[in-house]
Amino acid sequence: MKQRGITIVTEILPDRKGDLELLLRSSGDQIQNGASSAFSAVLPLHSLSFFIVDGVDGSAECLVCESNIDGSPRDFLAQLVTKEGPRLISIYLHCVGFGDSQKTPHGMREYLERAMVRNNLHYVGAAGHTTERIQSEAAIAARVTKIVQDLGPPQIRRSNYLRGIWAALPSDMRERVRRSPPMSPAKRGTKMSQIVTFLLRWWWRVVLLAGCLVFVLVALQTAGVKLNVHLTVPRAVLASVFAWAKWLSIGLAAIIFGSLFAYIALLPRKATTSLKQSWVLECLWRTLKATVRALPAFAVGLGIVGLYLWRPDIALWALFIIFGVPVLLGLLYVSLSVLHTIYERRETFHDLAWDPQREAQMRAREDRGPQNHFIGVTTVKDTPLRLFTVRFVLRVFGALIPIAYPVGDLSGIKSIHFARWTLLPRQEGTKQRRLLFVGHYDGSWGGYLGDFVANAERGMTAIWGNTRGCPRHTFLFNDGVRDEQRFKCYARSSQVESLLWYARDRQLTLRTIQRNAQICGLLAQAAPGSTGPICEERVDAFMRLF
Amino acid sequence: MSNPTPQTLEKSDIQGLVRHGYPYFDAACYEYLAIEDPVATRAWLQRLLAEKWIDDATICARHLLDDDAYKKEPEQRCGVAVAFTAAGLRALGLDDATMRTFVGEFQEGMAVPHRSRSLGDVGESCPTKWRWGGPQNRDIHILLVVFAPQADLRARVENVRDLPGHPTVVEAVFATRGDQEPFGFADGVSQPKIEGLDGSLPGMAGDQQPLKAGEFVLGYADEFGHFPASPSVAREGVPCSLRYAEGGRADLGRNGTFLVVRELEQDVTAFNEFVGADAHLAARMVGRWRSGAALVQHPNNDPNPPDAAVEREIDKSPSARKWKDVSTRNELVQDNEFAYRRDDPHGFSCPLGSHVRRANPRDSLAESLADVKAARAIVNRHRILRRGRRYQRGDAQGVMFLCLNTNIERQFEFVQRTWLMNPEFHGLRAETDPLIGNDSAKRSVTAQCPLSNTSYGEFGRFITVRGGGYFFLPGIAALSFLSRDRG
Repeated sequence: MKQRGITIVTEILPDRKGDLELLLRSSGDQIQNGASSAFSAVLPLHSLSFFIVDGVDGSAECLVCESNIDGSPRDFLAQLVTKEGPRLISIYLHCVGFGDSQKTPHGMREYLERAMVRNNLHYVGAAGHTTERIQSEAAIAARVTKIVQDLGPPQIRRSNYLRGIWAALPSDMRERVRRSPPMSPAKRGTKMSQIVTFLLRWWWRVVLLAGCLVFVLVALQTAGVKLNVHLTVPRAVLASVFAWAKWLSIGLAAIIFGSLFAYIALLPRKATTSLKQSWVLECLWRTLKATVRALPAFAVGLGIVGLYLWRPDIALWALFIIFGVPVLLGLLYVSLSVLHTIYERRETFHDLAWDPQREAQMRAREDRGPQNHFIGVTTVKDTPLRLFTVRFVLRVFGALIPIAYPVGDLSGIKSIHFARWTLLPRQEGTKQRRLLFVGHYDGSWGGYLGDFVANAERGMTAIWGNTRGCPRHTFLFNDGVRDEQRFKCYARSSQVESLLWYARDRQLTLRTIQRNAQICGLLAQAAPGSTGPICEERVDAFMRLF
Repeated sequence: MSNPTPQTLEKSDIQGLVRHGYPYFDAACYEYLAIEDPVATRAWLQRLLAEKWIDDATICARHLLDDDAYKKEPEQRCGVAVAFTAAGLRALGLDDATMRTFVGEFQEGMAVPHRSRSLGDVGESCPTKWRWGGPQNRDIHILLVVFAPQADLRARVENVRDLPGHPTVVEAVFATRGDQEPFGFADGVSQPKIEGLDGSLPGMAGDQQPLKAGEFVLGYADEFGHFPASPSVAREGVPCSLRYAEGGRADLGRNGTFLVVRELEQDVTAFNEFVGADAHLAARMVGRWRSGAALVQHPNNDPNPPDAAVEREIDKSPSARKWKDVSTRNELVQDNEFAYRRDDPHGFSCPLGSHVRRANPRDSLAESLADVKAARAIVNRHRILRRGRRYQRGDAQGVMFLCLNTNIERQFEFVQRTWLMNPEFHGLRAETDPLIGNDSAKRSVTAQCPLSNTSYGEFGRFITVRGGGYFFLPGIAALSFLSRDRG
């Protein structure tokens, strides 16, 4: 089941902000102090928060509700209004457009659905982990820990150790372990898949070399220079083959690449590559990715075919694919980055003054548990280019992150449960657009933002560099966020207080969630009927988890 | 954007404490002072400067033993460092506009509730129970550190106190050597080098490249090529040698740095009772043997003789330009040329949660050998220069922990919070630093083993925080500015 982020934005009635803030703060304090909440009865709900965003240029203040859920928003909202109806009514009575007809579960759900805003980018750290799975695996891991403590360290036949633990587990937990999805983080691909991975990692180098070769050959042919005699024989052989069936090479290429696609698509499902849940979607997605990756290689093949058939038009298409597309993309980047750099240089940047009262207010709710919460609202700079860049970059990142980074590891950052960037809707009376960022993370605020600076500074610069107050960037990706002290000052100044925050698994870090999944995954191999022997390395890996 | 060319440091404007912790003065006194008469205090500061009590960083440690080179009168033969709290700077007359240019952590101080929560100063270590620096204690304005030979220390301290205008002494703590802490472990074995300010001092033979000066001295580029935020004053009417800063202001922070001070009282009896005669357990908790030998390289036993004292003496041959560690019998092995990820990735030799591995993980956090460089680069953003010493207050003893950094939040606080006090550091579960952890009365430490991890416990708190504060250690020119009378 897929995890989704919901953002609901509603305008607050005039003069009602104070009352609403009091109401939310009071509820938030109760939850913060450990009071039980009906939110816990809403099963698909991972976390939820309410906060108020001040208006700009005289526009109304907005109430924002952001939540991270499993499955469909409609099902979630239906459960939410059923379980937490009275609280929601008391909150949304302060908002525009909420009347008596919205006080019924159906009316309220429709009201909330209408106010939903699309997230420009939503990142999930524990992708595929539903609330039910997280809690189930946590319970199993706790039980297994106790069993391991009672059993002591494994003796000579370590392979029997896991079976001993399996036998000591209660039957309901065994069943849950059997049904749990294949564990991923510790799983390694087969040797063949490692080779394919290696080849894919090196494809661009191969393609670049091959492209250069084609370019040289075409240039030589065009100039009428005779090719080296050593190439004559294979060329003659291939030419005769092509004379018999001139599209044979393309057919062969199709077969080769098709087989490759099929192989990749059927590789063991690795949590490190995709967020897709359906098997069909998974295969389609992988095939698409493989196609994109193989496109340059295909172009090289096309170029060679064109060359041997002496079809300059085919060779030119190949050259265009190899060099033209990257050049166009490069030109787009250069144009954008130069324009941005010019804009940045025209602007005046001042160090933001530190505000002790604001700092104390924001810090009051931080560092109270393993999991914390950050909300930032920044204003996108005025020029249309900035807004376009934010949208474009978020779209590209949204597409690339699932491909480029393993689940739970965003460019080396392993502490993010959820993160989202959302462009808030333009309000009446203002042309300004604001960018909302919400992050649920493990550890401290400083460590979290420090992770951004150390590991993902270019990406963050490309996003936040288009907003007011962010340190100056150059060429779209450089500097900016990397200036850590000023970036943190900017982040603090843009922070919005979370008035009510509920997180179901607030005491669980992402690392613990992954570890619990690993325990269940390794234990599943000890289940009777599971395929393959339990090798001692796996027992060692299992023991290292305790 | 890294800065490839080494930066030239203005050593004559940097206080000597940045360069070294006066390792060859075997005693020190930490005086926490309160300003009652700002005019008199400024006059006192002027006198400290005029009479050259405060060394700059051009004085290298070997000069301290070489009378001719040191060129100080006998009664002044000591090292002095002066640092100020935010309250102290206000008391000296800095206006609100200037104070706002200091970083937030410094302005707030160490004892605010959210910071205590974040640093783990809870329970017995809570600031409300501190001897100094806490909310119920008298405000500390100035830290004056005097380093001198043991025999001369009290006389030197009296000499400084005799200077007219000396502020009121709130607390005075006398400390001894800085190379062995009360649990018996060699201290200060591994220190970062500063590019452009290196000196062949004990503990500097590290496996790492020198770090950019901006990590430890304000006014210079840091490891990412950025200049750490530096306080500034309005340029108008400032007839002094402070450099220009942005916005028509003068750079007050240049050649200065931030000094973090924590009085860490150590429960030696409890520690010894827990480890008993098991030197290996003690070493596993710390990550080094008591002699300072690295557990990564000597996992089974201490290569140094059990009674080897950590004595340092200077190699006096004219050609020698470095200090040498020697024991009474033979040379101590205090290796620093090791890497955790490369030499001990699973923590079988040096446990993943040991004190030194948490405080400076080196390459330990790299996922694979290919990531070592990136992991080191990240760790290098969180280094601190330690200048602490062992102290004794009646029956209580501990370490007066001092560290220098330009970004308190990114350096000291990060190390304390994200590495030392992190219950899940390096994939561990529910255990903080075995030495300074303060989270529970039932703590344990895990020693990783090939077959099954071994957990040692339960033990309580070994170290209690008794005081602390954030100080600004100005450059000489900034000190001169602070000592001037304000209309």
